[in-house]
Amino acid sequence: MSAHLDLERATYRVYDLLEEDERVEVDAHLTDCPACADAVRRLEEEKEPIIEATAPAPVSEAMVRSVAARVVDRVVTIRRTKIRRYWLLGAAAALFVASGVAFLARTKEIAEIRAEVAHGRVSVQRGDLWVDMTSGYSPSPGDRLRTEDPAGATIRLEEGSRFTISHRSMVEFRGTRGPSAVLRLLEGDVRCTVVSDPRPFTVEAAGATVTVVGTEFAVHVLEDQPFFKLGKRFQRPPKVAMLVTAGEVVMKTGEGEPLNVRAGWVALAGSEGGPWMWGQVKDLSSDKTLDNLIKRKPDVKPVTDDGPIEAGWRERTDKAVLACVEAVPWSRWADALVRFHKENDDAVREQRPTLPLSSDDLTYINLGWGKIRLLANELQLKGEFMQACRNKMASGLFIEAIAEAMAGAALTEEQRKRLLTPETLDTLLPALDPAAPTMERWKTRTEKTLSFVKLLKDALPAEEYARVTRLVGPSFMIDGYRVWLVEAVNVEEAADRIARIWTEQFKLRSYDQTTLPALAAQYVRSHQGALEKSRREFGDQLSGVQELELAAKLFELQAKAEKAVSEIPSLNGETRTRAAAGSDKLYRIKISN
Amino acid sequence: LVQPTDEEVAEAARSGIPDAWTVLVNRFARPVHALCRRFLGNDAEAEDACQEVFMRLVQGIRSYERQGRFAPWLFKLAANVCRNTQRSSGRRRQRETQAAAPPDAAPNPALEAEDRDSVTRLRSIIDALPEQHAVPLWLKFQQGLDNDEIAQVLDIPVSSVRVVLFRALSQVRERAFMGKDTP
Repeated sequence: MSAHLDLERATYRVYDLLEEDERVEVDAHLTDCPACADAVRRLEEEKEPIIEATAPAPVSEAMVRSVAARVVDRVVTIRRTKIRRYWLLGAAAALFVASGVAFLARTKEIAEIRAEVAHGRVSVQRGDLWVDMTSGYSPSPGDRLRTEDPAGATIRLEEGSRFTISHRSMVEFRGTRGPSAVLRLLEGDVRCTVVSDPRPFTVEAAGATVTVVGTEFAVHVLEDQPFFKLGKRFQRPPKVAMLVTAGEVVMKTGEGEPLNVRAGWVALAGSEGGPWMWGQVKDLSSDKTLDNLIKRKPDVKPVTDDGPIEAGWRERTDKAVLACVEAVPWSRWADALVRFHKENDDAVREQRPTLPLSSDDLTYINLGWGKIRLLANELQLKGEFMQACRNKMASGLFIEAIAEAMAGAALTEEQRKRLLTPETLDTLLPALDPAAPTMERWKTRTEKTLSFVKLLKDALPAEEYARVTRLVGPSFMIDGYRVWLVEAVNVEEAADRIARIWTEQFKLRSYDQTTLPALAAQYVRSHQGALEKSRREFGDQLSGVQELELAAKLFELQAKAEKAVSEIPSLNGETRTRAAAGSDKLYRIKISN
Repeated sequence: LVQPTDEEVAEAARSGIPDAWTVLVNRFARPVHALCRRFLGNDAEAEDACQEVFMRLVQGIRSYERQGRFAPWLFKLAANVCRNTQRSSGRRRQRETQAAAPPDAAPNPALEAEDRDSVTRLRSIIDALPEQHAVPLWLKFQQGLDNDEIAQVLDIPVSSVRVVLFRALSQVRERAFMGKDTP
């Protein structure tokens, strides 16, 4: 290139708009042509301010929020509309098919229905009136039955099954067993004993259906039950409770996936939620109504401390997780996560302990959990999804992570199996309570940590346990504990300083302080005694556990001394309360002489 | 930190996660508003257009094929919304008329060296450019789109993109640095 660069090519060069071959050619020219090189340099000087000036004026945060709110609102509306549309379409189709089938089947069905009152008295609704009927009465499809008989009333179907309506309960009899429900429970309880038969026996109650082919179960329509706390688990209160006393029952609602419930288990559902596994009844032999069983919790062991496990949870969570995974392709993690969820849910459904996952899966879950937290933050995911992930994942992983961090190596399958138990969770979580330390919390944390260490001792081989315990004490001591080192040359000076600390801490200035130095001296001596005892037994180099045990002893002595301070007679109520609450620091007294 | 890309968030939004939509709006409301502002010339109309763009995005995200980047696809949608708005309100002509007159009607004498760095002044010049010049500059230098993507957004041949950019830059230079030497 011999001619000078024109403005256009010089501009392309400066703003990186040249093709590669053009750029090589232009650069070669610039090397040989000082005039063009100078012109390009001047254009370069203008480039930065021009690019900077292309930035738009800032946009208000309110505008962004307003757009976001409208968009999300629109997305939600569209989703609802779609669901409603599909539902209406499905309902129309079902109605069309059902009407044809019903017409053909009607004559046969009427001929087959044979049901009669076997025990007790029932009232049958006839218009606005309730007419009493006794043994031998045959209800017709559509009859509403209730009973005032304290023992209830039993209706026997021709094929041998029977159902008992409890006192002050009401059902609507629908007809013989088959594709449609035999009865609808409107109030109270009904207990069904169903003989084996290929045709399903279905009970409807408050939007849920319970289907069996041969078993015993009881269904109860719940009133507004204050003992089911809304929020964490139940966004809407459950409406139906069911106890299976023999065999297996399928419970279904319009929303969740069907739940198989085995003998001894209570499941809950509602027209707008569930079904959920709620708890296992300890004593099936006792003859109690479901209402009593549920209200009297000691008889029912809940599935989890948080309450029931919702069927269909896995499907929804996995869907959300997979949607995220599609966005961020961590397929290995997703697979592991799904296996983890599946195992947990299967264990609940099959009423057995959870089997440990492979170490690969656990590694991926650990990695993935960190990642999904980032993703969740980015997507501002809140509420159900994160809560569900936490409930499902946090407990086991947390323990494992702690144990591995302490052991300094991956745990074996056997160790993992022994460590991932409810007991360790129960023990460790309070020990890691992140709340501000108080004497009470310190005490609890120390005790719980020591219990956890004992569990580790049972779970790990001796040498690994030794390695763990070298680390466990300091890690817990450092994390969150505030130790106040009091250095003095002798006991008197230490006692004087402790007394001054207490005076400051509990605001004791205006009180007679003759008792305080004596209490402080007594405390310092007991503190030194404990230190001396520990030194005699274990030497100066304490293991983690020994250090924890020493700390527990020192807590105890300090708490005792501070309690004595709170009992000084001249204190007023407020000061006494302050002293009784104790110090927010642990004193470690070092006497150099 | 691993942040999901725009395309990944768009995929999540497409699968119906409301929170993904929030992220999408938080990421793109400002650029889309800026683009609309470049097209329509004032904040009020830009805000309405920005809302409209996202409403259309909700309806039309299914047509986004994850083959190219999401941003150019969205900007093209925004550009179409703006063109429709212009057509319906007949403002395009007005705006071009306004743009024909630079902010300082009299040509600037040679500017002092410090004026060269006056970003505010340059910004007012760029704001006054017609949209066919202001928008490519913004897409190139603020959004980092390559020539193919700019062509996609503006619906022009790829080969025209750098010519358009050159013309835009020339206009800015003429108005800002008139009288200075050029090669």
